Amino acid sequence: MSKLGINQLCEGMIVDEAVSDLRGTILLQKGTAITLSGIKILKTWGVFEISVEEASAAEHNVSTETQLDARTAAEAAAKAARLFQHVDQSDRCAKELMRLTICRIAQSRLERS
Amino acid sequence: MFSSPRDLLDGTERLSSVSVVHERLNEAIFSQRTTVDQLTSIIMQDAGLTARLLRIVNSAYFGFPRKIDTISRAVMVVGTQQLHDLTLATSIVTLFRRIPEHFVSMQSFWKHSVACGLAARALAGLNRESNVERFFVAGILHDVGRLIMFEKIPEMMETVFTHIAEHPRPMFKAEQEIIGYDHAAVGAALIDAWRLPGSLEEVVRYHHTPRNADRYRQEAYVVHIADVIAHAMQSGSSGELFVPPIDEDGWKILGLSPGSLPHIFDLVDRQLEGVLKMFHSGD
Repeated sequence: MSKLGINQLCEGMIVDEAVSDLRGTILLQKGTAITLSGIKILKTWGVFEISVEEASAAEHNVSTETQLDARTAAEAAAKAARLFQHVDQSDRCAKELMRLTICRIAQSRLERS
Repeated sequence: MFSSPRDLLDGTERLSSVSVVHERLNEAIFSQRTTVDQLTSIIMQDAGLTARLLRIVNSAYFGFPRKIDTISRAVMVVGTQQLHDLTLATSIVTLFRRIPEHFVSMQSFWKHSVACGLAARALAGLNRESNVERFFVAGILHDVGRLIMFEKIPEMMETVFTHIAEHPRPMFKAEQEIIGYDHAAVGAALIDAWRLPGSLEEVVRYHHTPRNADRYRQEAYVVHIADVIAHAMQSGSSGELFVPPIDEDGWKILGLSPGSLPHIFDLVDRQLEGVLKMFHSGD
């Protein structure tokens, strides 16, 4: 089982744990394939993280990582490391924040080139 | 010469009072007898303010399905307190429009401030806080003290930058070491001089050290994390070169998970340019 943020979800990933809103109403059943309208429903109800089947998550990860060439990724990581040099990286949220910054820097470099 | 944050404010009339319209608006909002019509007429005495407020209520920031074309409708739909807070934010941005841009461009400075305000509003929404607009205002004002420092003590701020280049450290720490106080203390003094709510003063004072806040600690944590997010997004700059240190309890106190961060990035990205345009275009 992989916990993924809503923005990391892709169509076709399989929900591994039923998702409910604050009142307990089920929004997505376990075993459901993620669709764009499913993602919209989650956003509407303020759900930011869900569990998806490991295999379907892994499939997606492979395809996104290959989009970023190694040099751009390394430069982005180095820049982010300088930016975050005063931040304690032991917390999961701080790690995710830095990961998002690396993606952002890499993305803007790709767009510029 | 400027031994305390308060000293920096002396002799700067422009900075020691908010606009007459704002003060009258404040009185009107807190008077039980004020009608929507009275409030509308106070706002409409300032054409620039009227135009800015209409742009804001019609923007993606609120996302209303139909166009709101009168201030009276805006007062009814958005609410008096929220409109007051937005009025405050837009008035303050215009007060600082002509500060020399030797250290940072005003565009970049406000971009960082608005990004922080939008992130603070999003975080407050996730925490089911009432009147999320006050968090937007706190975010917009969190670094305002630095503008005063750039204007009143430019040589000392030059030394701060040199000090950081030689000894990399967060800017607020360098300010404390070189000047004896930081932009958070100056911002708090300014908010106090403007007689704005004590909650705003405390949040601005402790946005780098939220655990030291007393009555408004939760609010201070919201702006603390929002500031960190705005720095991580690299949306504009208030002069700071690094993502500031994060209070270890911040994430837990706000109930944040890693999965909520991309959502906040998205939200800020979607609203930022639109809100900036409204703050800066026309008057």
